[in-house]
Amino acid sequence: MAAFQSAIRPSGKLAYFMVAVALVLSGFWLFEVKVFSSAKAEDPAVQVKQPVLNATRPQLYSAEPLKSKSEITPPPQVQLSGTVGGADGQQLAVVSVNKSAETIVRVGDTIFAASTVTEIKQDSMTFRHGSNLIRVVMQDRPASPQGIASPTQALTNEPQVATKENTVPGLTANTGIAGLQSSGEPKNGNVEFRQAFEQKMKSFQSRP
Amino acid sequence: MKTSRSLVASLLAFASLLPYAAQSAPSGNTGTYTNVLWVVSTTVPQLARCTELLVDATGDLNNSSRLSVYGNLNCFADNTAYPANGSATIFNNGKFGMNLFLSSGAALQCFNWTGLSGICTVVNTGTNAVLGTATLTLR
Repeated sequence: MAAFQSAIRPSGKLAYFMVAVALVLSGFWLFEVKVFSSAKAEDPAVQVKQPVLNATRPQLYSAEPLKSKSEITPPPQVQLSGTVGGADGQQLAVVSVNKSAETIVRVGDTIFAASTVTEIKQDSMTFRHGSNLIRVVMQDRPASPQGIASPTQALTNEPQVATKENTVPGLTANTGIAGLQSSGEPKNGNVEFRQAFEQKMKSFQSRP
Repeated sequence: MKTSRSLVASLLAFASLLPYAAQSAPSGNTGTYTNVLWVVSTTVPQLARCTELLVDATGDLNNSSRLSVYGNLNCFADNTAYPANGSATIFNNGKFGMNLFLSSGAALQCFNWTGLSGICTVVNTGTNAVLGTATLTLR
């Protein structure tokens, strides 16, 4: 028994060493238990961090929904030069879009990005731009004070938001003629030509 | 003495010619009516998509009844324009007439209009064959 006790009894230094090791190990164990339990408690916080990770790569996520083409593109500036009846009885409109060359359109034609002709009357045309209905009125050109025409500026029918409550930047609802602006297109000289013709007719009639 | 007589005679002869010279001298002002616009519809198939005749007219209507007319027959649907030139006359019976040659080899013959709108005959300028009619309306 004494031999056994002497066999298992550590020496004094060894005992101190073993106690120190035991303390260190118990310290590690306590530390791990604390970290593990706190990690469990903060589990929701870990999930909260997920959006933060997403926020570091904003290119992959768009906060706003995509805008439609009509919301991005401003409405075109349309000048209505005239309307004519087509061979099929359908009304046609002669228009210039954004001061480009005149072209003939009919109901259903796309005149600009996201702009479609919805109605053509004898003196006006309506087109839809996104959710807006825009009416363009044909405007009589004013007569020159002299009989001979001179190269002056013409009127442009600035599009007007007609029936919708929402307005488009740069346009005013139901402004009528006050909203018109001049463009670089030449005016037609029909008024002067007609006046000259009538004056010539009068001169014929006044002759004996 | 003889010399002075001949000088006086020459002056008298020259003076007698002055009224004729004045008559033949140009008078009045020539002006241009720009961008005269007719809306066109035609039965000619080749020109069916031409909807506008846009011309300038030059003349002196104070001293003449004739105008030189030049411009384009515009066919927007085909993105085409036919150059057109010719003349117009205001007759003393109140009628208006116009003859325009198109670059396509056709001509618009518009006669006996009571105003500035009416119907023209479209003819082939090579064969004089009638191709159809065109209705011109001055807006």
